[in-house]
Amino acid sequence: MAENLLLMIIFLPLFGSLFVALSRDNNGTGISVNAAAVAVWTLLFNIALILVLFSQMNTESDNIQYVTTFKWLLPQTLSISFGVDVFALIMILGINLALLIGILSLRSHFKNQKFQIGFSLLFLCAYTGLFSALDLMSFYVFFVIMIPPLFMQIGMDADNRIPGRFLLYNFLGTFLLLFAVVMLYCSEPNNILIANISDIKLDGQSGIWVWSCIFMGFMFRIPVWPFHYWISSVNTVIRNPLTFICANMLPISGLFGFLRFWPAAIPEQISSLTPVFAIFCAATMLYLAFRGYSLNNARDKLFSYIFIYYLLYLLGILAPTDILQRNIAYSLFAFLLVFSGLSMVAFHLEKENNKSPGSLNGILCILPKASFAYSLLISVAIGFPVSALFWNNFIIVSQVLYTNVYIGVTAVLTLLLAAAFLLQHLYSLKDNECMLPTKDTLRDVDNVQFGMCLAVMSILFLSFIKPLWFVY
Amino acid sequence: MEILAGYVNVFFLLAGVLVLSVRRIWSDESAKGYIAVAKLFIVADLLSLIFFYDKNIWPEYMSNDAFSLAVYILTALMMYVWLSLSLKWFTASGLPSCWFCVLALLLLFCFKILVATVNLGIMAAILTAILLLQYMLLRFSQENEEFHNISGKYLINTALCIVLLGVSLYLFAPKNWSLANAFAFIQTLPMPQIFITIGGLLVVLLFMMGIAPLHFGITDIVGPAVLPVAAYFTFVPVMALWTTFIKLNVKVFASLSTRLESFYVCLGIICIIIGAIGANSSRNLRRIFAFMALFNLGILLMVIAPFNYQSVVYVVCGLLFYVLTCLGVYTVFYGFKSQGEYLSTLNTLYGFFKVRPFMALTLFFFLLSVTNVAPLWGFLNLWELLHRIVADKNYLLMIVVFGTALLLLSALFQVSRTIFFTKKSTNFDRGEFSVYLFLALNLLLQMWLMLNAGALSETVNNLLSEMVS
Repeated sequence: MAENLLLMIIFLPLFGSLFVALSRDNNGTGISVNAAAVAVWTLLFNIALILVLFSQMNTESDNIQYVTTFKWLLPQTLSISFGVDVFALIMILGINLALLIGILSLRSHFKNQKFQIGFSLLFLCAYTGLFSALDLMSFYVFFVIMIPPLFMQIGMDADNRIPGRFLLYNFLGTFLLLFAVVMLYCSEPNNILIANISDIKLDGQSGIWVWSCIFMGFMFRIPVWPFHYWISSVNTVIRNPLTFICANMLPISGLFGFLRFWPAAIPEQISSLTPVFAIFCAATMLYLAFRGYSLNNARDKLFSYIFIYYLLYLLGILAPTDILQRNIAYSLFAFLLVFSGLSMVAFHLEKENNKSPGSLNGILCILPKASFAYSLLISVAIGFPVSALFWNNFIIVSQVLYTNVYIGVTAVLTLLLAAAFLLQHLYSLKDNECMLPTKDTLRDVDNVQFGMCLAVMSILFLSFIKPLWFVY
Repeated sequence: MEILAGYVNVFFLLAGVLVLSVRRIWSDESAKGYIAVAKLFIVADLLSLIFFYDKNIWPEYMSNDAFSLAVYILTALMMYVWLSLSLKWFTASGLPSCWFCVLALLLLFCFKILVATVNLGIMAAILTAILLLQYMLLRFSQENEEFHNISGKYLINTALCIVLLGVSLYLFAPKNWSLANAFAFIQTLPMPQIFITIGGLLVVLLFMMGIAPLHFGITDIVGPAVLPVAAYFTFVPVMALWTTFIKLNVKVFASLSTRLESFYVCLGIICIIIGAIGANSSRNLRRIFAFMALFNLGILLMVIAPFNYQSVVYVVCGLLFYVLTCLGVYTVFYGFKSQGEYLSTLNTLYGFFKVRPFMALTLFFFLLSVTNVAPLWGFLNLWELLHRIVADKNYLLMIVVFGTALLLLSALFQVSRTIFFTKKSTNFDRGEFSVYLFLALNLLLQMWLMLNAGALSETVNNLLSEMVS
């Protein structure tokens, strides 16, 4: 029963996207209310299923549960296996909630968004599949099929060459991963579970090639210099909050890949390079922090903030211990909600500001609900001790400091800088003296969006008290 | 009675040609009428095949096995769908379709003989006939400015092919024209002479299959040709020609498999390189797709190169998806219509997605498959090829494959950008119901086959057992 529930959670968004594609726009006005309603109900139902699955799960255990195996496709002895552990399921819940926020943030942008919504549900289906994949083949397949829907979303938002860059960068990464996957299947022709990769005997040279390719394949998803180009260029052109949220969720697949593969059994030659890589991460974090500080655009600041935190999680994952897994999961869950909520309000402000072009400064003075929501979310984002983000990040940073004090100090410094530029941004948005009289006509966030922000805050607060408070 | 059944089995389609000619003489019918008659004869021929499949009048020249029958049925079905789609073009253009239908039935007749024949003489004669009939089919495009250029080239190539076939047959000598004798004869020849002997046959076949560097026989044609003709060259003869290719390699060239393997791999590499570069350098959607298809043919050729049982099964499954995908893509091309004209250049297709989202998304799905994105069929072929490459430790080839696959994705981006991401600049005609129906059926069939790929390969395995053994 529970196994079927997991399959439903994976494939429900796929059916949702089909319904969205078939839904009609209201009265030919181009407003995609029906599509949004279908998507919201799909997500709510999916979230309910996830909570039911959580309730049946042994949350004390870190083992994979609800394992289902199918004979598949390929005319070989391959089969695909699905299953989840607490980390995966909490991530699935997180991306469902983040997408729900994304779709609700389209409320003021509903025109001609039908296919954006449909593709985002496909993206969710692929992502859920990735989190549930237990064997190498299905992991690779879901790792790849999340790209086309996102490519379409980005392309519909940006009519230039940037979607092409996104496509090529990401496929370059998947080809490297494919090389590693084929090498592993050549060594072990039967089904390979990710958990058992360490059992595969590879000779020295092959081992180095395989692990380098796996490493690089995941790196293309995470914006560490010099692999950052696609995400930074994509973020400059996105006009749609849903696409922004989806695009910025993509690096989690790289983090998840590292988490599933990395601690297993990497050859000494590769593992010895981990500190060098950690230095690259720390340097990129520092760069992003200064970038966020120097740029005035709200989206640029948000982008810098998001990737500083992704790199912090990566440092946590690369630490030579597995005990951080739960902390990373709880923190990532909270982080997903925070950045989605911030994106929702930030895009609303940007859209309202476009009615009378000029600086955003002081805009929150005349939008009380947006001001309240944004202030609360920023306070959580900077590490105010009211959410799971604070507590778990504290543990992750401690471990990074313990592993390498220089990198740890750099990480702390960048977190402080990130907090500073977010506060600076909040201050400028609330600066009463900068407010322009022409902005009196601007609309505040609507009640549904405001309610969602409050719900996010409640979830974050409850998660602070007990991370899995929703398990009954 | 048995002999009569055998004759019916072989020549039924020619009766169709006769009926069409008589109707042309006695009544001037609409395009729909002729195509309906042609389709009727195809269905009747398939039924006669089901009833009389074991009635063979010339066992020394023609011998059907389960696989060749399956290939013929598939080719006939493709011909049927192709005729159904072609009707739209004839209705829009107002041209008579009688001669077109006659050519279709004659070509199908040729394919029937081609997949069944076990004699090199008949094979060469049929290949010549197909080349000539295809040239006549090409003449339907004579209103196009480029027609004289391409038809002239095609005619010269056809003449060269006939010469090559003649030389090959002469070197084999008539007593060795049966496949079994030809196999034995090859083994008696010294090495350079073997390749001169088989070269003619092989080159002609590769030319007709559109394998690089002889790909111009297809890629140069599909752009200027009218839509039904371009569609024909892309997917109708594929299965029959590949079956002949497999038959020759398994039954005649088997002793040369090691030497030919490297040759085919080289051709495959040329195919994927030219395919990837060509797809990026063209602005005509049919040509872009032809180059994408060439890339996939290259992959298939490299997979089949060792001609062991497993590789043949893999490629036959791959070909089935290939043909369905080509059919799907050309069905979408029938939806690219504005003011009664079929569009093919990218700059006329801006914003197509905004008005025909289902068609555009289906095209995207097919193109993803052609660009080898997992888990679609193109990926399965790539997967098999990569397995081979890793086993051989041929990492340079792997870099070439990945590099060209990335280039192909760049072409996919160009097409997607035009169709999906730009503003509409053309008033597209209303999509026809039958186009949507064919697309939906094609998608469902492909998905069903993908989900049952294991069962499919097992079926192909059983079908091939007689031929490959």
